[in-house]
Amino acid sequence: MPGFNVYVPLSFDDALRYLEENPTDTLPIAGSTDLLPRIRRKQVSIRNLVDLSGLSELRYIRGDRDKIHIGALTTIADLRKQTDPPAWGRLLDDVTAKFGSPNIRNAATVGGNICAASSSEDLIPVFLALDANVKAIRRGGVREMALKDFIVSKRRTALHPGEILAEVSFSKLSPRSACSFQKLGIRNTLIIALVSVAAVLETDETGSSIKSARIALNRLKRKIPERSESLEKELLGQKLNEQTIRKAAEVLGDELALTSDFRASAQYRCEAAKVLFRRALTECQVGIAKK
Amino acid sequence: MTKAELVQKLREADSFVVVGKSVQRLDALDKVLGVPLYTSDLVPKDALSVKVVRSTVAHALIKRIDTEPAKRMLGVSVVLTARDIPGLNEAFALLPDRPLLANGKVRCQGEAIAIVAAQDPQVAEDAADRVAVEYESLPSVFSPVEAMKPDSIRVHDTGNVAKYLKVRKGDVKEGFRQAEVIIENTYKTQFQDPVPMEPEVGMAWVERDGTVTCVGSMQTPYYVQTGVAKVLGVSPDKVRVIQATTGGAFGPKSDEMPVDTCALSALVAQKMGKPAILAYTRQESMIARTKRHPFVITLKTGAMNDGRLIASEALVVSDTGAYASLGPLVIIRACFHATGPYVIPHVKTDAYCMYTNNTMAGSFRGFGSPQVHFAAECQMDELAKKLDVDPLDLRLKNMLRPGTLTATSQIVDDACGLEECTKRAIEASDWYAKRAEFGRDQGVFRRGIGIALMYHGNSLGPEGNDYAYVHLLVKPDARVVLRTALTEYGTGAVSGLAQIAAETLGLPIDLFELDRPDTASCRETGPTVASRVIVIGGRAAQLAALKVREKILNVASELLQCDHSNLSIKNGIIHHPHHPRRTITFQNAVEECYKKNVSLNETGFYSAPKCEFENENSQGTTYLQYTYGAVVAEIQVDTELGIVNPLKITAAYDAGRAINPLSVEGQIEGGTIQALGYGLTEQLIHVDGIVANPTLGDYYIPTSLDIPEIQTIIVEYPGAVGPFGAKAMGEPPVDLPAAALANAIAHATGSRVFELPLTAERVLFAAKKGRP
Amino acid sequence: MAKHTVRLNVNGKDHALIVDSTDRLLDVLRDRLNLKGVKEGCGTGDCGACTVIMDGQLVNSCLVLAVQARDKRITTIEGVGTREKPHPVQKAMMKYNAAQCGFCIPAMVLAGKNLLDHNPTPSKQEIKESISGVLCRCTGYYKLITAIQEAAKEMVGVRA
Repeated sequence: MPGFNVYVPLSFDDALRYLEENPTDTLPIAGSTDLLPRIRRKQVSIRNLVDLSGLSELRYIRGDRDKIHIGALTTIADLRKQTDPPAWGRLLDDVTAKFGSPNIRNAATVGGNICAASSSEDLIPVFLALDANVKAIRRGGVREMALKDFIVSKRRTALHPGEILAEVSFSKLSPRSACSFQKLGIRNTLIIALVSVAAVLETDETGSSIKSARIALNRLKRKIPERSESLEKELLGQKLNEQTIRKAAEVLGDELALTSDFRASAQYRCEAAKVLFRRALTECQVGIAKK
Repeated sequence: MTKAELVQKLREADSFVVVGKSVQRLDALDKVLGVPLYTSDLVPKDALSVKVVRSTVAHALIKRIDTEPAKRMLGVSVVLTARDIPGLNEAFALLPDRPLLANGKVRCQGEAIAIVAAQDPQVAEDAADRVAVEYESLPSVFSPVEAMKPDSIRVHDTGNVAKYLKVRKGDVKEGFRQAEVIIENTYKTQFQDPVPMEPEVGMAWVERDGTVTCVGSMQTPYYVQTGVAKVLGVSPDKVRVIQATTGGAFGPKSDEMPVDTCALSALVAQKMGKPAILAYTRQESMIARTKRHPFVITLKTGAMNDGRLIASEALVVSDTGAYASLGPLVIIRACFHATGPYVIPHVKTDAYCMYTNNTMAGSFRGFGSPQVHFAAECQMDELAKKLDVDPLDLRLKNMLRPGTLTATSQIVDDACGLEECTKRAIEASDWYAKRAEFGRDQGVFRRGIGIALMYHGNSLGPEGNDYAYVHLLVKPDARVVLRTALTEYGTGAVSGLAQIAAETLGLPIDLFELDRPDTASCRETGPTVASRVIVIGGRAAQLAALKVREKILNVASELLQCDHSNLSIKNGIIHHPHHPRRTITFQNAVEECYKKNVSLNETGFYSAPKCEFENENSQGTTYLQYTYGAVVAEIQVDTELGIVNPLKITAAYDAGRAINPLSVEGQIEGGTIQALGYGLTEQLIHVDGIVANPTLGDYYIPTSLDIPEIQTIIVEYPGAVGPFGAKAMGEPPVDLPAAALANAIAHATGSRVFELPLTAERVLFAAKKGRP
Repeated sequence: MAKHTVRLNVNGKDHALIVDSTDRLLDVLRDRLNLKGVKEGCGTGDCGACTVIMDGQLVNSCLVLAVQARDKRITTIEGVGTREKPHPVQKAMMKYNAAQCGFCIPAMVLAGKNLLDHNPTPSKQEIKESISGVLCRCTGYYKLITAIQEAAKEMVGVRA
């Protein structure tokens, strides 16, 4: 393993102090599932790692009246055990079921997934569709911003030196909401998504037309997980039916960063994205109808 | 009774005590306790770690190797290049085309150029990164079909054809003239990585007397002995090789790879006087070691309207990468089996094993058979479609049966269970009903059911001398140690040898122990490949057992005062033929042997009869016995995404005689899933000769959540050669699943994918063409 | 490079070790505590051969830094069953000849044991999920699944 130094903080404050004193060449580490392999393969060269894995104060899932707050060190396995479905609909179950393997889920954290900031990170489209905010804390200050602003570009976040991503939060879904997460991979588990779609829809009182739509894919024009503004605009105010869904799927084509690589062609990714989108919305439609 | 008569009598017994029983493997307890020591578990504390500097380009001259930056690094013990090889710079399995360390030229990515050794593996790795290699790029060829063109880039000075052979039977021109229906298609298959869970590793040290001992993950200790001795420039008896517990092999650990790891370690060990170990990383393993040959197969098939096959013309081309490895033998097997298990009067097959600048292909379970069966079995379904007949009926009409001739004009003997396998698989899978029911599926999710048949010539056949040595030593406590240079690496076959010996000797299996393969104590026995442990090794084990039996019974006859030819051993007790109560135990007889200085250390040697066939047109007996099989695959296709969900595989095999049915099932199940990956998700992709996905995060083998329901059926038509009629069952289970899946998908979508793997993308785009 | 004193409990025994920052739990278990049953198959968390149970959960020990394992309870294969009294999962695996090359077996045994410790009556799907982080190339998984199913029945029977 290429050399680095690990600092074990005595507390969250101590971690912040260390990061402030060592702003460059220092990264926080928790579940290590993304960072360690990259260090080993020399894709990342880092001098210091701050081990956050012992900071239980950052590992929580709390609901208040309107929002859900998730500490950055919450593991995927912790999320999977959550039993508060109405807040998230079925997104939680869908995304954690297909995330890595049990071994990976026991270690990988929400914070780690978000800070990796790439189209391989399944939680990001889900949190984007939930219109989540993130809280970044450093010694002497807390910043809160929209997740979509936090993910700047591939593998780059808006974290300032000395800051740790501490929490993700989002508003609980209204009763007239439904959601869905669809992921396409090459086998059933332990895969990186070729395409994934997260959708959260809210309908009007009658349940028949779309009051708001939040659609995120793992990879759009900027090659990172993003919300599709044009898709969301297309859906607004429309009747929630098959025709609307099919029409909207066609809009999606222009949004996608179409790249062919050895895993799949651009054409296939485009086809698959449309299908996943349609299925996500159809699942939402079914979810609404059930209510 | 002569030995031959005894063997026959044993074979024809009404019932067996140990053979045919699902006894526990001899290594079972150790394995579930995590006790066995694999090579990396045996590393001495002072061992040096060896890292290899490998080519990052596909084809280039090496202008300069600058090892100074590496040598200067703190902690680096030594840096070696081709110049430092005391013996011959050669490490090839068959054709003399490959150096151990590159000498002025590299022909593929991953070729070893230099080695660095250090006490700290990280230092060795960092130092290896610092070795600067200056390349002068050369034009490359990456397609085996391109490589056949006269103006193609030459990978080797001798040209790009590593091997060519043909089959000629009858007169295809005449056959096609008679044919009422003719179809022609081209099929392609991919590089498959074996993915043994334990990557390649070898270790070496120098003994006090100057000899070198190598321990490694391997299939064939004697190849390693020869290979290492050659590199060190010493005679083979100065090199001792021991196989450590090996975590999966599947073929690639029988050829160049263990020679590489052990020889490179040995070079360092010799230079530095310390043990040295070379353990490949997974990524290194996936780039540098041999994989399954990709094939391009063009098949032209002619038939009569009533479904009789008349003519087959095949062009079979394999890509063996930059070095041939066992490519020339793989192509032989492929060539002989290219028609599939059918009776065809006129056959013309031309088979080429081609060099390219891709990474190496070599031995891998199936050895050419999965590739040609994919093509042949897809072709049968395409023909059935053209003739508008049920694909099963077409196969039943044309399949090999006793008395018919293969493509090489070998007469099929009575030990042909192909028809029974087919019928049992059809019945178990409810073929006709499902074929009709699935055909009525509408909507997005459509099911399909497909079938494929195969035959698999056993053991080496035309590939080489087929012999084996097995040693039995009876200890004073009457425990029997079985020793052989045939290796265990997962199949359980060596435990099977103990079962055979136990049956022959009339002893309970729990008296037996296995010792590890060691050139110091086991005779050279040929490679552990081609599923020959049971078929060939089993005969040798039986002969060794018969020798021990004779010694025991001689002594027993004195003790019991009767003629020894009337004595028998049953369950460890020797019975007097006329006085049933006068018995002695095996232990008694052993003690007596020791008292009388009668040696109970016996060696059994068996050499299979040579296959008589005429080389020019490959006509004659190409293999001494055949395994047959039929696989039915049921799948469901998501026709919007192309995703194939395998529902059930029904696999029926004629195993001749299942020495251990549970172990045979294990081979069938494991082989089926390995072939499932081959069929649906696995492809090691080269982009301009560079492997794009050499990691397990990007190369997808099936997980426990990807497996279908499976039903295994074992049918027994005892083979002519194998002990108790046993047939090869290590390799055959990988031959068919991909073909059966392809046929099932074509049934589901109405459209065929002609290329492996059957990725969602390929299935989707084919299905779009096929759907009404 | 900082060194750390790490206290951890492995197979019921407490240890205090001085480790390097870069030491992985895998390295410490194999090289310092001589527990060779933990295997390295890929080093990147893709194969699960290095699986151990840490505080009651399966983790890939190649992805845990030794310093991150401080104060944890670790179980490796060496802590499961004995020659005289194998664990029911081990017994069942022997019965079905489920171990072929054996390289994934320590991880599979731990996955099976951990599942049954938490869920005594798992469904077949739950069994498949519990071992889905460990790759096996030899067996096709079938007999491993059957073995865990049978072990579950035996353990429930014993408890009853």
